[in-house]
Amino acid sequence: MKDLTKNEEILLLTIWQLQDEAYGVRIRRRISELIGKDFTYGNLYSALNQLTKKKYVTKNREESVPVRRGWQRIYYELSPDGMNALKRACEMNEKIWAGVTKHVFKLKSR
Amino acid sequence: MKSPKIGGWFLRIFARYFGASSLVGDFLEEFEERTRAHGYMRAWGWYWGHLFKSFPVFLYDFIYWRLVMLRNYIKISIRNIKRHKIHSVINILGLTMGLACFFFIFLWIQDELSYDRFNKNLDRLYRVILEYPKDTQSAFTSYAAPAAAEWLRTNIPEIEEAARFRIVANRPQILVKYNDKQFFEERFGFGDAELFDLFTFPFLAGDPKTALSNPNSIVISENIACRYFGKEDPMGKVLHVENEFDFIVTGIMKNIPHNSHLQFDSLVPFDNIQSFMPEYGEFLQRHNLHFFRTYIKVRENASIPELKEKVSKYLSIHFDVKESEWRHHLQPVKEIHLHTRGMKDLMKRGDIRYIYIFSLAGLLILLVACINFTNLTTALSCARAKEVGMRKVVGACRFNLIGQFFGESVLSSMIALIVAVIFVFASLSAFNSMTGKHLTLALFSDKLTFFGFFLIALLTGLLSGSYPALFLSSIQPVRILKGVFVSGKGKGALRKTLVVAQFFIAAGLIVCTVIINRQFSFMQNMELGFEKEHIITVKLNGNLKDKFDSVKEELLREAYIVNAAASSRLLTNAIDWVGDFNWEGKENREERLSFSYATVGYDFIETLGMQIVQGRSFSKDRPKKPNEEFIINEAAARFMNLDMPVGTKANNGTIIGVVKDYNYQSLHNEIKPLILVNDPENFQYMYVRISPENIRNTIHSIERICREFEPAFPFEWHFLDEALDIQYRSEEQMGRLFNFFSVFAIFIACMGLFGLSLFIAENRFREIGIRKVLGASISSLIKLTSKEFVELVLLANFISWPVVYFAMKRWLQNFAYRTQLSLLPFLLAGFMVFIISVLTVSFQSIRAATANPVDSLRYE
Repeated sequence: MKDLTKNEEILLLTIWQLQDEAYGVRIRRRISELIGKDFTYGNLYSALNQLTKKKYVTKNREESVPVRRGWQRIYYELSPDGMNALKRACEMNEKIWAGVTKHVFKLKSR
Repeated sequence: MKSPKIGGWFLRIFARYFGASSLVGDFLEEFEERTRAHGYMRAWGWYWGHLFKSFPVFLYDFIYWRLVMLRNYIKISIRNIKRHKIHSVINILGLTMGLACFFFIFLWIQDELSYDRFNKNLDRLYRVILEYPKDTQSAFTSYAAPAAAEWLRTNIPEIEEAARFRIVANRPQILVKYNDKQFFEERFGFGDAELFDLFTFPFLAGDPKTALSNPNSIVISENIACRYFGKEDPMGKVLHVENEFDFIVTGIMKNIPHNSHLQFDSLVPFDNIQSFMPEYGEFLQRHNLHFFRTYIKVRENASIPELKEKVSKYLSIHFDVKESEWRHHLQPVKEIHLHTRGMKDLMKRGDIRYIYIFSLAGLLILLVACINFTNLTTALSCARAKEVGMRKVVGACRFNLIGQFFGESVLSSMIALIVAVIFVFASLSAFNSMTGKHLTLALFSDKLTFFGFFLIALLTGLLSGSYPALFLSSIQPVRILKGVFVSGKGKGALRKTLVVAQFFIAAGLIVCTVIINRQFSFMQNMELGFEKEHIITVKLNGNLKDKFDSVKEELLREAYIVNAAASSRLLTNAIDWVGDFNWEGKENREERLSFSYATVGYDFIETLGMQIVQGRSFSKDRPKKPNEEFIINEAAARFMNLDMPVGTKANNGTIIGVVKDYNYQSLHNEIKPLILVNDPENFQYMYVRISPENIRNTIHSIERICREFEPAFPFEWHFLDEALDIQYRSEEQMGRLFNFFSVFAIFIACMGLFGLSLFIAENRFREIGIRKVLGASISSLIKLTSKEFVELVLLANFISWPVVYFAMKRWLQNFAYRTQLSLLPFLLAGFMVFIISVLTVSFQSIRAATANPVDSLRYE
């Protein structure tokens, strides 16, 4: 099983965090805030497409909102596989960062 | 609030691709939110800005996975080509040859169809043709009377313009002199100035409207201008014609394109023709001297049926003739080149039937090449089957596989296209000299042609790939991967059918070729009724004609000159006129028949080695006036139904002899009743029989004598047999083309057979090894492996015979004298195909049969 890319990791994490509110507009806004620059719908949906194919993410429910003129709002949620992948990514990150204190960066930047 | 429409359209495409319809909704939702917060304009800006930012990602995703697959397809294709080198070479070479052949035919047909198309008024141009009674039915000629043009223009309102034209009066060539340079012109025309209005012949200098207004003016072509004047300015220079007339150059036209049916290099005002044909007197106002082409331009929106009706009345208004027998018709100029069959004029032209025949031949050859491809690819399919199974298991749908196989066949056909175009370029001049065409291929001006080539190659690729694509993609992965799949017996039937179809085409073409060649050699070797070898024809100019008797005397003093005689025409079409003939006892005959008249001098019959059957030939010892003595041929005697025609009074004279039938026209025509008259006024040519030894010196001495008598004209001579052969040039060219095509067809078909036999031999490698171990002899093994194919080839042969028989029977009906359609050419061609295919197949089977069985069985 391949490791997640950073993009995918962020996306999975965001979907998990948003819980019941995980649909396109929200996800995009959240990630844009997180990374501090515009995360486009292109990036979002090409990554979502991959994750859906890998069955990490599944559609949870659809909802009609008048403002969307009949185009459904699709909510996503993590599948157990997605949870696992996220868990492994988290462990990996901890391993990588183990023993590194923030102190180091302060020294560097000075 | 309205969101951008076009943006939505883009989004929908991407949304469909990602299978996430919510993408469109997301955009809308955020657009609405932003409109509320920042106003419509800023939201609109965001919408587009964001769309453009997302674009690269969408596109990348869109294309990336397709590229990955394409790379895989190409890799596999190249691997396949490499693995099956021989088969790939056969496939691509076969397609190349098929395409090259087809391209040649394509160019040839394109050229034939382009005739006269350059004329801007083409749809309004017509030629006046004449229908007249001949024998029992009516015949057509493209000639009209000199006064016809004027009459038609003034009396028929639908006709806007009319113009007459005739080439070189009634002599074959015209002498043109400029200072001390002299040229013989065959394309010296007489015509009305309106010709330049009717036809699109642009001028380089001078004004087309006024160029011919002076009777002494002449318009010349670019070519002639270069030849006569070099770098001088031709305008206003004087040309001396036939040592008698002077013409002033008043216009230079561009060379007439080769694909014009109307051809001339120089043109003088039509009325001059009267002085070039003094024997007809004042004829310009006559309505009944049918010697001249007449073209008309019809007014726009004129009703053509009404016009035709009026034109057909013309002759019956002036003469007491039945309108149903003698009448003029209009023939559209655009139909002249291809749709004028059986018209009695001496023009070189095409034939729509040849277009059909050659298109068919081209398509058939291409089909043979396609079958090659299909056959070999399906034969190799068992090797590919595993790949297909694998792809299906991994998730390819049938559509992808079909795409892949079509892609492969199109790849092959594109490689073939490139090679074929290079080949066509390289051998175009050879093809031109073979067909007598002037084809050129300019890469950038003929975009349409090249597009056509591309399209043909693409279609070829799709056609040849269609069966393998549909067949291979239908395979069930489970069966293949289990190992059940065999390139089964059922598929063998299709392969066999295709092989039979290939050899049906190839063998058919070969039989056609053999028959065409036989007819051609038959015509060359036929008894013509005279001896055509060792006869030199010399044109009689000026003094040579006036003092012919002294010239002849002088010639006969030479040791190697056997005899000499004068005549009005070359034997290629030796009729001066066609007319009626009256003799004692004709009155009670009902049928009508036109008689051909030819003018010959003393000793003509003797010089050409013809035989007098009855009576005597013209004799110097009893000089008579031209119309007092006639010699008729046997056909005329038969028709007149006289036992002893000699001595019969006819016209104003007597029949003095009967000559054995001889072919005074090409062999397309039967020998018709002919009357020979002796009229020195009409002499144009001299026939000199020389002995076979010392030909070069003899010709030199003839030239010397001619120069002594007439220094003003250059000496012009031909061998009679060569001149006669020219008549069959179009048949000869067609024969050669057919030779060429049938060689191509059989070669391609044999390549396919070779590939198939190679495949079968490889497949049965072990079987042969086992048989050998068990004691089979080499000869029985060869028989085993080649039998199947040879049977197919023979079957194809037999099927093709009846088809070819009927086709060739129709073709031979073009000739009055034709070879019998015997079984021999069929057997001969069949044998040829048989031998070629046996050689092809046995090469493989011998290799397989003589191989050491250890090699094939070692791995078991």
